[in-house]
Amino acid sequence: MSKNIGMQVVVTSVKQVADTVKCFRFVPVDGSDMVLPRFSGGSHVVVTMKGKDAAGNTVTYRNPYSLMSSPDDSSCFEISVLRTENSRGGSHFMHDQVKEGDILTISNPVNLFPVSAGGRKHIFIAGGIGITPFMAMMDALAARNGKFELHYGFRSRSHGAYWRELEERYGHSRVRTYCQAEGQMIDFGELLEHQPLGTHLYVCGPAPMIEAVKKSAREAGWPDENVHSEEFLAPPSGQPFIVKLKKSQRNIMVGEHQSILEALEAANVDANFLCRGGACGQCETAVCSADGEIEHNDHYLSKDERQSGKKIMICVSRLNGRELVLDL
Amino acid sequence: MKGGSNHAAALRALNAADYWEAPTIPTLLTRLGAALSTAHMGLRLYVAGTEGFIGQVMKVGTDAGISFLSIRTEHRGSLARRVSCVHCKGITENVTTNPATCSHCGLTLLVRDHYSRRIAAFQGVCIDAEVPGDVPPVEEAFR
Ligand SMILES: Cc1cc2nc3c(=O)[nH]c(=O)nc-3n(C[C@H](O)[C@H](O)[C@H](O)COP(=O)(O)OP(=O)(O)OC[C@H]3O[C@@H](n4cnc5c(N)ncnc54)[C@H](O)[C@@H]3O)c2cc1C
Ligand code: FES
Repeated sequence: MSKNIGMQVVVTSVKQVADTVKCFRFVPVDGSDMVLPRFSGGSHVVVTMKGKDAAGNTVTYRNPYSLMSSPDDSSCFEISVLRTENSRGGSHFMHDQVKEGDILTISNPVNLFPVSAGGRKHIFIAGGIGITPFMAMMDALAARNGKFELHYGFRSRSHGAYWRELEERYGHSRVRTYCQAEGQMIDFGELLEHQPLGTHLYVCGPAPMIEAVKKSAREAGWPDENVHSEEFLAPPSGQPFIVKLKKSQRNIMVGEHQSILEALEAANVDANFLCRGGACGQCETAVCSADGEIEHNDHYLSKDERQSGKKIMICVSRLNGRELVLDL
Repeated sequence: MKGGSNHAAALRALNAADYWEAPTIPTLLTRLGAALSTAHMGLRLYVAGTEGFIGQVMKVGTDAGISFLSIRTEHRGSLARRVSCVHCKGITENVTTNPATCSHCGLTLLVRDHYSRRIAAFQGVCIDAEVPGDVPPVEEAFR
């Protein structure tokens, strides 16, 4: 929620862990009596960043990042951030600006991707930076003798983060790596065969990978209840448009590289959010009318809800058109 | 199940990977549990039968790691309940009335709608604990 943005932490270490991935460690601000909240594997926090846009104006970014440190270690939080190409600023700010000693504002942890409590065995499939939530999940499972295996694909050995540590820590029987540059590919169909009843499958990676895993699971007769996914969805860019707030009678411009949620926040309108990735449902907003076509980019609304044109998830979805009237 | 009807020949003719006529429900449940313990993902469980039967099969399934949400069930026949006495923990099968008598400790039980998946039974609570003998008339409630 919008109130959930106010915990201040100090950056105590910044480490380059792969070609384009940096790991950041956060602890409570010195002298404060704050303790970090407990979290479960799969949780993320929303990090507030103040960066500069192309024109040199200060802009606020809020990006979700998965917690990858041990859930049993309450002394610190760690996240790992990929420096994305085409970034509007968020991940570049983390890579280029943030240094040891800096103070950042983060939200409380939220978990939309938990380990299934009743699962007999857990299979994790990671693509690239999608490894982060599994780091925390595996740590917690290993401490409780939970059964798991990881299948981790990345572009090249220098691009992939943590694969060496993970192989060393959990052994080759539990950690399999697949390096694209060496021609290795994960065969989803094969790895889904002969898995004991009660196995749960988790996938985090690029959208095509998530789709391919879900398709293989469906074809192998796995029930949807046993297949879990998280996509690191970022708000896509598009044409600018106007958002009209019906109740407060305001007009707000949503820029090319802004989400509706970000435009509202920039105009000091309080809006709810938790994940900022189209998954949690918190930011659902009623649409009064739309002059143009709504581009639904979330994973939350059903087909029928999308078609009705009455709802929009303002963290990732936008309008391809002139004006969107919201019931706010 | 043996007895009930004469579908056996037709069912056998379907050439299922495994077809078995169990003499009793407990033996059926035991054999199902053994089969599930070595089964792999891709196996799906479908149950048709009475309220109490579905509950007991669901328990064997969930004990084997199957999510109860992915078990498909169809109710057929009696709605009679399996009732677990909260006082002596005994299970009384085929309860059709409310209140009902616990077949283990003899208390008169109010059969609640509270269902436990863990023991596959509805909860029965002593109805005349405060004034013994003060019991409402017995009515047929679950047919
Ligand atoms: C639940 C959740 C957990 C996450 N966990 C992690 C994590 O652990 N580590 C991590 O690194 N990330 C994680 N993310 C993603 C992260 O929140 C950010 O989306 C990511 O860091 C990119 O942010 P950015 O501000 O740099 O880029 P943004 O500007 O937000 O852009 C993101 C992407 O959009 C595309 N894009 C943007 N603008 C354009 C354009 N003009 N043209 C073409 N394409 C464009 C690009 O592909 C770019 O990579 C997570 C996301 C979610 C929802
Ligand atoms: S904030 Fe979670 S769906 Fe928009």
